[in-house]
Amino acid sequence: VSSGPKPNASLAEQIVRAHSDITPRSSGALSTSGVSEHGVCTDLSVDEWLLIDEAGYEPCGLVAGASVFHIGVVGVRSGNCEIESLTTALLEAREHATATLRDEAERLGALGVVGVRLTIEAMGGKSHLARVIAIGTGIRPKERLPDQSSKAQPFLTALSGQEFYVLSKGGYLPLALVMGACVYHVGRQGGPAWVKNKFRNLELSSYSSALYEARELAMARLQGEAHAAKAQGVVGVTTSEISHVWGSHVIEFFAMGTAVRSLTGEHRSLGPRLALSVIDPVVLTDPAALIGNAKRCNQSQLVSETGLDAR
Amino acid sequence: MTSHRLPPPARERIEKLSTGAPWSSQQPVGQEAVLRGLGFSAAAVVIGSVYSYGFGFPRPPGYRRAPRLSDVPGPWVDDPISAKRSGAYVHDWAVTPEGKPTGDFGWTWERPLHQERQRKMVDSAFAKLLTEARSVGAHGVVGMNLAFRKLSSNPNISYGVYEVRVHGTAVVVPGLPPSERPFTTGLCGGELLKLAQRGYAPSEFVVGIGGVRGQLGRRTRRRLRSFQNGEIEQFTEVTQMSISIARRDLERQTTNPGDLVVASSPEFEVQRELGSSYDVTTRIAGSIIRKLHRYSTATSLALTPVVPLNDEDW
Repeated sequence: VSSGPKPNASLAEQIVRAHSDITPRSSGALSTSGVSEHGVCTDLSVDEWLLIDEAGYEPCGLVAGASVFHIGVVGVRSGNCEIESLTTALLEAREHATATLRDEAERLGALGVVGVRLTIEAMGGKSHLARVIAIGTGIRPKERLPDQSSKAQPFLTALSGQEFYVLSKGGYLPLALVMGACVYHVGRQGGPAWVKNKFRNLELSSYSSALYEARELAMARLQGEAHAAKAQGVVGVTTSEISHVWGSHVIEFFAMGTAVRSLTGEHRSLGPRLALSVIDPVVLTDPAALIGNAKRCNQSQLVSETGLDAR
Repeated sequence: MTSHRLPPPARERIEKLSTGAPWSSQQPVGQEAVLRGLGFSAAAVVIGSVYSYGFGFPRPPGYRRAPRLSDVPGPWVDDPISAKRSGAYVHDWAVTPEGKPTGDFGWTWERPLHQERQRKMVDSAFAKLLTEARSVGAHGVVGMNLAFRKLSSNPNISYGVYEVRVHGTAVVVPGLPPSERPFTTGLCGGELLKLAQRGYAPSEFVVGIGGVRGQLGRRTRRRLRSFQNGEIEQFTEVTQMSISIARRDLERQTTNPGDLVVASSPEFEVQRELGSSYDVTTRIAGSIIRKLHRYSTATSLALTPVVPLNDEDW
C-alpha cells in the first residue's frame, strides 16, 4: 500500500497511504520512554483546534485539576438564610481544582487554558464529600508574543475554541475564570400559613425573596471577582441551580464566566453575514453510555443531554 | 493487537457482505456524504465486545514500584523507610522536616496490574473489531466509540464483571489493495475532511488508563470524621494522579512529537473498599492525528463569520 502517492490521489487515498507509512508502536501502550518524544493531548474538538490554530495558538496539553472536599457539620436552619459554610466549602473546592489546573498549565508553558469544564458531584451520594474536577486544554502562541511575560500566570476560560477565536478577533483577551456561589436555605412554610394560602392565588413572597437574594449574592460575588481581575466585562456567564444531595430546600446558585479586557480599547467588528443552516443535528447514539468521540459530531446537543459540562 | 476468531454470527454477517449484502454505516447521512466526497465508501458497521471477570487484590506482589510516580506532577517525596519496604510514595505532609515518617502517612500507589487488566480488555475488543474490519477489506474505521461498563451489584469493590464494547464504521477506498493495518478514529466524516484539507490525517483510536490506590492514612481518617470543612488531600492526590497517568498513557501511544490526540472527557471509576482504601481509575479515549507530510499541502481556512437564522435552544 505504501508504494507512494499518485499525483492526483484522492484525500482518502492520501489518508490511507499516510497511515500505512507509519511504523507501528514497538513497545506497546505502556512504554516508559520519555514524554518529550510524544505528541500532546487535547480535549478540543477538531473544529476548536483548527480555529485555535487559525488564531495563532497551538495546544500544549490536556490539563486537569481535582479536589476532594470534606464538608463539615452544618447546623439546623429554619428560616431563609445563606449557609455560609457550604458556600465557602464548595467555592474553596472549585478554587483548589482550578488552581491545580493553572499550575499544570504553567508547568507546560501555556499562555492560557481554554474550554475549562468544571464538574462537581457528591461522592457516592454522600453529602459530606464533594469531588470537583476541572479540565481544559493549555494553549500557547505559535510565535512568542512581544509583550508576553514569562511570569504571568496562565489565564483560564470556560469559552470554547470557537468563542475564543471570535473573542481574540474582536480584540479582547480572557483574563480569568470568575465564579460566584451561594448556598441558600429556603425556609419552609408553616402549617397555619399553608392552610391559609391553600385556596388562594398569591405570590409566596418568602420563597421569592429567598431565591432572588441567593441569585443576587452569587452574581455579586462573580462581579467582585471580575472587578478584582481588572476586567472590562464578563462573557459567557452560565448560571445553575443545584440541590446536590441536600433536598429541595437547600439550593446552590452558581455563576461562572470569563473576565475579559480589550487589548486595543475598541471593539473590532467581524462583519458577520446572516446564514440559514439546513443541517439539523443528529445524535449518533446514547451519549451517556459512551466515552468515545460521538460528541465531536454534535457537541452542543450531547452536552445539553448529559448535563455534565459547565462549559 | 492480535487477530481474533470471529464468532459464527459475525462470520456469517461478514461473509454475506462479500456476496452482495447491503453495506451499513453508523455515520449520519450528512457525514456519510462527506466521507464519499473524500473518496471513502462505507463497508459495514464493525463491533468488538468483551466480558471479563477478575480480582483486584489489595496489594498483590508485583505492584509497580515508585519510578512511574515520579512522572506525575505533585509534591511527592520519597520516604526513606517506607519506600524501601514497599516502593510506595508518601505525601510530604506525612514526613517531618527532618525527613522522618510522622506515623500519619497514607500509602498511595499506581496499580499497574489493574491497568494492564483493563488494557487487555480494551485491546481484545479492539482486536475483534479490527478482525471484522480486515474481513471486509477495510482501509479504516471511522466514528469509533468505546463503552466501558462495570456489571457489579456493589460499585465499591474492585473485582467483578466488566463489559467493554467498541464499534465504528469500516470504510474502504475503491481501487486500493486491502490494508493489513486499517486506520482507526473516533472522528466523523466532516472532521476528516477538515483535517485533510488542513494537511492532517487520522491514525489510531487509543485509550489511556490510569489506576491509583490510596491506603488511608490517619490524617485522612481524621479529616473524614471532622466537623470542619477541609480538603481531603489524599483523595485529591489519588484523583489527580489517576488523571495524570491516564493522560501520559494516552500521549505515550503517539509516535512523534507532532502528533495530537483529540481526546474525549475522562471517565472516572471510584471505589472505596471497607473504608480503608480509595481507588480511582480514569479512562480517556482519543484519536491520534498527524501531519500528511508527503502527500498534501495545507490550505488555510477561509472563514466567513455568520449569524445563523436557525432557532436554537438556549
